[in-house]
Amino acid sequence: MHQYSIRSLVLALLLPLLLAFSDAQAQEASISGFVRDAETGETLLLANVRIKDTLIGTATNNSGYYTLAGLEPGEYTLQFSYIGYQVFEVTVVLGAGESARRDVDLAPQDFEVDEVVVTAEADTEEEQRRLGVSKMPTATIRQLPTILEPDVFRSLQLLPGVKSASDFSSGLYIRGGSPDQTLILLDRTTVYNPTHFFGVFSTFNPDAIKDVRLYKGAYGSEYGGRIGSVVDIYNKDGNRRENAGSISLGLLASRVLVEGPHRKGSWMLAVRRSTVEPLLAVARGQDVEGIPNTFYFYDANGKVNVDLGQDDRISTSFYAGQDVVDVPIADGVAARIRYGNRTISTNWTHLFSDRLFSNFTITGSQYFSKPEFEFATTNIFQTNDVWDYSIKGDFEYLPDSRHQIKAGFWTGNFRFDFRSVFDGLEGLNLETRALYTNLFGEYIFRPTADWTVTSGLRGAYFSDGSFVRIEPRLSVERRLSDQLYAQVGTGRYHQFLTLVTNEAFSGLDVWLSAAENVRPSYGDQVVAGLKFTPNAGIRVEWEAYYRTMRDLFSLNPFLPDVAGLAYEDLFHVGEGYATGSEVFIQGRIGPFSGFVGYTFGLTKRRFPTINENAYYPPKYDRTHDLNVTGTARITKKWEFTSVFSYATGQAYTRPASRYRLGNSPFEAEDTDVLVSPFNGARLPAYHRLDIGFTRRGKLFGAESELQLQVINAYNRRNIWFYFYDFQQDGSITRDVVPQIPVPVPNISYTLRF
Amino acid sequence: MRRITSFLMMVALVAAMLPVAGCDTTSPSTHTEELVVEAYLVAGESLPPVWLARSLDIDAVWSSPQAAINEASVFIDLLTDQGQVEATFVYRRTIEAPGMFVTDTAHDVLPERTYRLRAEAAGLPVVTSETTVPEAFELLEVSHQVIEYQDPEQFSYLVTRSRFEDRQSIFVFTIANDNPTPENLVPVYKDLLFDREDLESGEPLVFDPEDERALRRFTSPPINEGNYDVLPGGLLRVRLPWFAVAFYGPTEITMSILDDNLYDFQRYQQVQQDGGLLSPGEIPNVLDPVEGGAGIFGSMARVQSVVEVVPANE
Repeated sequence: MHQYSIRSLVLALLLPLLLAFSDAQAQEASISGFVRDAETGETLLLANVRIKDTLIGTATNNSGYYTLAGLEPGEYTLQFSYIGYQVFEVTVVLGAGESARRDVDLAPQDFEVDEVVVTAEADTEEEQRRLGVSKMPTATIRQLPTILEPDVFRSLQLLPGVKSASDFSSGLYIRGGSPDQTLILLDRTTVYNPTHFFGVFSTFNPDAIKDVRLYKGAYGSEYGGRIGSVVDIYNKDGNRRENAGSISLGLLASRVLVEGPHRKGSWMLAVRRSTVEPLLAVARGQDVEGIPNTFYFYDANGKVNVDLGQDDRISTSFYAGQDVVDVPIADGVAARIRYGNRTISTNWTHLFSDRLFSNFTITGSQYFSKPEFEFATTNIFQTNDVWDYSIKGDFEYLPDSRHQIKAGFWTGNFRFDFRSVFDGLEGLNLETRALYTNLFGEYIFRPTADWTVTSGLRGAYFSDGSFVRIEPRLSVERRLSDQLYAQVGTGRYHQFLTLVTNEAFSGLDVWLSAAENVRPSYGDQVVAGLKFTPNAGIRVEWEAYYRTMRDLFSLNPFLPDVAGLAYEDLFHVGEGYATGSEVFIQGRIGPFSGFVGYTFGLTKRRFPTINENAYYPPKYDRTHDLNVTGTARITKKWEFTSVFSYATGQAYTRPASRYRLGNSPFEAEDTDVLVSPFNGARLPAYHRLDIGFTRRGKLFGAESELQLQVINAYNRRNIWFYFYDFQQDGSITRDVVPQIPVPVPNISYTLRF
Repeated sequence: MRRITSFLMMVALVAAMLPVAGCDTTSPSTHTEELVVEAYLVAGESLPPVWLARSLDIDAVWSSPQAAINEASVFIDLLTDQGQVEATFVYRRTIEAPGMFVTDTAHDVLPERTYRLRAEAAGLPVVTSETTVPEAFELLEVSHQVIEYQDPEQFSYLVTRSRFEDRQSIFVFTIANDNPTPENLVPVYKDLLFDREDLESGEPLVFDPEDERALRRFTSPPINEGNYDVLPGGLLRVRLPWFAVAFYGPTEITMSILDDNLYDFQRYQQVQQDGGLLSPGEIPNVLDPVEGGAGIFGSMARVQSVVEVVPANE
């Protein structure tokens, strides 16, 4: 049913291209160029470009490049806008068949430039208006109160449709999907374990990040490989105007960023490392037991850009990070865990013409996890390594204003090694070598100014199991008025990988893949939305979604030992669905700004091994989820930020009955057994308020920023889970394991020079 | 006007979802009393006792005498390969322990044969459960009678294999010690269980009762045969990991091969207790083989040996 020939796939991809080329108009004019930050020279991704007082517009692509094609000869006023930047207008005169190039620098809102035209607010960006797309400005990420470290994923968790598992988890549970259903890309490279501190926060250093975009669902055919969503993150290019940098000192970690121009481009290096060793040394000096011998994490991001000419740019970026902990438990008992990621990518952007844009990337990604446990000379260790090397190419072609074509490929080689050794005996040694290839084509058709139809097709091949899968995608947008847009979208998605993880601890994460007799997961998504901009500065969005999840293969949690099992016997295969409705309101009134996100959501799963194969809500299912974020500029120097979160209590298992087996030949202790409807109850509602103050100033001529924050400001004792403990007297006590149990202060100091 | 209409339309859509939002997506849990059975058949050994009890509400305090069911009809049938009853063993109540039933018929449990338990108590559904006894296996050789603690050449068994049609053998190791005193603990466990001050005080060490019970008889989780190399002749060499030894002195080591019922019960019960890969707070039910009730009716084949563990410097 799902298998199609390669030939039909290629034909399907080429057909819209052929149709579109035939529609090209030779005498129409066009204008194109890059949009950059005036202060740093950074390209601005998904900036809004439109012809003033018309509905003709576009957005810059993932390289900051735009093209407006199919224009009649004449005079136009172009308007460029981007959130957090002043609107820029420029008038151009285009002759018949002329292809003009206009690179534009946008000034940040606090930046004084003579030529800019200042307006109150930026318009809603074209790209951000797209179905299921959310952007999180890095300035917001750095500003929001957060435990220990400013964090990209914890900021994304505030958006509607995105949930967290607990205060201790940065995992993204998007529209009812588990974290492995979200593709995480850093500079177009897959990141396999995006966590530090065993899941408490994500690996992405906000100083190094330029752009964070979340595709929550029904995403276009240029992405694939996950049945849920995509987080697309881009590192900064580096300051093209001057050498600059920043130093941040925090409670848990400190960060250094340096960047600057070189003769043909720019460079950037950002390093972050935990700084808790002195505290640990003091604790060890006080003979506190269980203090790790070693505990640290670090990450480094770097990027070098070289402009080879007006039409060619090359950049190379890397990421390296790891977490290490070495805990002595007793004499002869110790645990050591080391895990991390490394990525590298080289990207070549080439303009074949003003209407044909291309991008080629070579990527390499490695994830490793090496837990080791020693107990009385019994050594237990496990290694999981993932290597992923790939080449991808993307093309964008705009023959005229009504048609746009995107096409591309992504091919690579996966290598997964998973080895488990117990007391010198190798219990498991899995080696997976798989080639994967993806081809996609997308045709964007604008028959009138009010309608946009985007149709796409993606084909995916995975060699382990020889799977070929076709993924059609379709979305339609209708402009109902200048302020109101209605959208629907649908698509099919496949996933060849599954993550073995635990919500409470990500340091042991293991990736496994589909293979012969283990079919890839797949799902269908339907999304409908309304985007409303009643006036400048206010944005209201509503989206509703329904999605299915089928052939969900994941490691069977009821296998105490996997040695000697056939690969397909490692898994239990289930299914699920999720539905929900989201409202997002963003606004700015005078010195106040913020956003409100509300989600009504429902997600269910079923597996033959759990709950007698009946549907149940997973723990992260939350019926209602509300986040309110606000920022107030109190004075020129002081700013106040707050985040309030409310959510329905998570599903948990409340035991109904119990019995005891007292005659086991194996145990000296009685065996207590609970009987419960699986996840049949709800924890009390979750709510929390975080507040923060920021003071900006100068120190030795450098800009300084002092942040004082309190997490869980009113001391709400949210429950993480209940622990049932069997007592000697035959009773069972229910102990509360809390989330962040007390107000937690956070302080950081940043210098920018 | 058009703008207002559009906005009202959007508000109406949002309002439309609110009634749905009030739905509670979980169901309340209520206690239903069940007949709980417990019996373990061992290949080549006499028919075991059967224990009966009732399940209790989660808030009840467990008391074996109160939970025990003393009035019941209990039978174990030996079935033919075609599922017919070949012999029936009638059980009777014994006053040895609450809820304990025994048979007066002498019968050694036959390997590779299927037995069915039937139990009926007033006011509760009839309970049935079947187990197929694993093929018996033999202990051919042990590496040591006496072994120094943490000897690199670990204590090992040489055993024949027990074959299953559709899966590999599943083992559990039970290590028991007759003298489980704190002074007799090996250094690793002593360091784990006692604070440094206690160890250095010179005072007699006193076990926490839970620790004492857990270590007196310690059983490994189920271990697959795939961990071990099959030697020429189809034999298995099985080594005992040192972490399983908690005390010096004579140590009884039992190697058991589990039937499906015990394997399923053990692996699910382990996840119920430890959580495993499930999210904190998610507690699965055990996979029990009992129709109409709960508990375990399982079987195993096993071999035993004794090794004396002595300190390394003796």
